[in-house]
Amino acid sequence: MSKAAELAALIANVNNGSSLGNKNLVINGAMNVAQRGTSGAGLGASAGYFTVDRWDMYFTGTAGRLTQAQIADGPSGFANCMKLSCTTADTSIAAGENVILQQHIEGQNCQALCKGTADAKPITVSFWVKGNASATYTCGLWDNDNSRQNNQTFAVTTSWNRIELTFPADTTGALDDDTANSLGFYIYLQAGSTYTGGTFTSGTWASVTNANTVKSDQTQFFDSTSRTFFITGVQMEIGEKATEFEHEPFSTTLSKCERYFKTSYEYGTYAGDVLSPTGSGSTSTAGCLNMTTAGNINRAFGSIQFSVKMRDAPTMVFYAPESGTNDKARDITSDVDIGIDPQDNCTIGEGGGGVQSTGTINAVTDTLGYHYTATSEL
Amino acid sequence: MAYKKVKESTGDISTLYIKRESDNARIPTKEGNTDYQEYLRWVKIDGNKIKDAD
Repeated sequence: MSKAAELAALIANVNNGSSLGNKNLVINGAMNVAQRGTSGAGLGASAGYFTVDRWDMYFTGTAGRLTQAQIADGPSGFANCMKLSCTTADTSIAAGENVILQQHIEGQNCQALCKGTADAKPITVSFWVKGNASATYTCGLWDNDNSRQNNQTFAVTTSWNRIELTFPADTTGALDDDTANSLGFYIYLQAGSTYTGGTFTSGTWASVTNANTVKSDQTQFFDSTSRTFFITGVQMEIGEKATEFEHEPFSTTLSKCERYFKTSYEYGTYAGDVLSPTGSGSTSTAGCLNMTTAGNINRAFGSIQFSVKMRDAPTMVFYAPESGTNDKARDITSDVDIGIDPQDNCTIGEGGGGVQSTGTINAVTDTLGYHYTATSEL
Repeated sequence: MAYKKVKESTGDISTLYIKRESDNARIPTKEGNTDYQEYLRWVKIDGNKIKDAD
């Protein structure tokens, strides 16, 4: 796009209600933040968040397996992308089978779309993709509050290409102004007849009819162990034109991600990592949090304060720093793991809370440490 | 998936958390937490029952 055309598109979108900053409704579209790890293998049995923050892999009923990785590849200006590699093919596709790469957006962040009103705005999504061979997949928006959807296909080649898809304004179905999942950005990578068996109508908002979701002749990602899919630069903005991707500082993206997933580990180390050699008196567990015994060997207490308020009270998992043992803290002085729980009277909410040891501590002078992950995804 | 009740330090069964056994996660019993929502869907399925605390 020429600079003049880019400027015209930007002005048109601003006039349509977009903003000049924070225009991207998608978080971590450049795939730069990966707090959980940089590679997850053998994925396909169950849904979840595995590597790059905010990106959920949804699997139903497939025998296929894939590796998801954050890798240093991308079109000009992008340092990272997400790579999906098929490691176990599944060419006998069950009716109810599907594989979706998705991101859910809080309703309170979607209010400028004016969806479900006479002032509803069009939405344009853009992203860079490539693959091992030519392929066609389906990109969709999913209105979770009103069970409405709008889907379009896009083509992948062996080179990085920017896909730009505009979804018309939807005057039906307002999105709730709350912290729950209101709008989903979906990429359907594999789908059985339950989702392909109807009439696919591109770019049209309609009540969800599963059979009309995915075009029947789209590529099935698990068709071969050669199959790969690369994606980065995902942007969802108000307006009819895709504008330049809005790059942002790493710390800004990380803060946005931490509303949904937070870890006490140093960036680049992950839940369950064994972080230092075990040795009596070792305190080389960088960044681990501390519990103090307050003169009582039966109980130690610690506190957590999240740097960013989480979306809701998070699910907590604790780890012993030196051993990496799940569901444990570490008596670093005595080199033993010890139980840990959220405090009874100071539970962990959006902003933090308290933890307490369970079990007997060797000595009141011992140093106790722990790591945690806190999850409040959509 | 399997879930277990947890005890508070007093020995009482916690009404604030449940444990997901696959990763020993403490899931708050708050409706906005999607892990708790998943538990509520799971427990409605015939035959699924949360285990008693240790």
